[in-house]
Amino acid sequence: MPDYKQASLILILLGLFGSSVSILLGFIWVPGIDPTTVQQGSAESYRILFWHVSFAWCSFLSFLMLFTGSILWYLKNDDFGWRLFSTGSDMGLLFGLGVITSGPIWGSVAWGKAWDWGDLRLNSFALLTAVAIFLVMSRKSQPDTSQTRDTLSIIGLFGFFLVPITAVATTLYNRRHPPIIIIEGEDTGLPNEWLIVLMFSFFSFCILFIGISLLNDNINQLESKMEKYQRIIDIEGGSN
Amino acid sequence: MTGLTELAVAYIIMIGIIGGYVWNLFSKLKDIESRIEGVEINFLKEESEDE
Repeated sequence: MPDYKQASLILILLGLFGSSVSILLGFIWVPGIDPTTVQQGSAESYRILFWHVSFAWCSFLSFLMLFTGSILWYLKNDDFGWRLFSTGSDMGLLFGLGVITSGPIWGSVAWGKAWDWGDLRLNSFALLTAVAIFLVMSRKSQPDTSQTRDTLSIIGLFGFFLVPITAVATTLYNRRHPPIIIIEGEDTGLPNEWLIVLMFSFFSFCILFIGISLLNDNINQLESKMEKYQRIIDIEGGSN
Repeated sequence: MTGLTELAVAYIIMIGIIGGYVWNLFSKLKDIESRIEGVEINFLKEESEDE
């Protein structure tokens, strides 16, 4: 079994360094937005975008990983598929929590309230993160059998169908969440400095994502190995 | 309140989440590695006793 510990540590440190630099650049380099175009006193809070958006994009990558893993496991009982599934659910939980932590803090400044129960994107994203929590908790609490894997992979597929709904929610049903801003349009688009820092932040998050994924995969594989050993010990104990 | 306070709080919380999570992963990895090592040493001992 390859040991990714060193590689993942380096990638995680690089990713954290890059994403911290993006916060600094976001504070000191990018120009402020026109305070008259937003709710009073909320102009500075828009600088949360550099991490909030990167968290959201990486969480979509996590759910793509989860979806691929679910399909591979369900159709072929492929062990690599299960590794993708396990890592995808762990990553979906981490990055999903990042999104629903940063979003409400920004919302409390820009909207005057942290959560809008009528907004499709907010609630579909919360549901997506809840699916990730459910999958991670179930994986930890249930015995690692084919039946458990089959059941969880079906739930993983259901989770992924929420991704396109969440992704297009701001376009089709725009109630409170800002629309897709990086695409140039009449009401959308970002100044160059904002775009550069956002892309730099996303790149750093991708490095972080790969580092944490490798580490998670390493742990999941070792846990499977430990569970196999446990079964051998149980069988030997039963036969004595 | 300009929103800067909330912004700083948000970034600190997010850095905390990632830092705590990564720290937890490395301690978990260390724990599993030592448990596996213990079990493997035991298996080897049992094998040599059987011989």
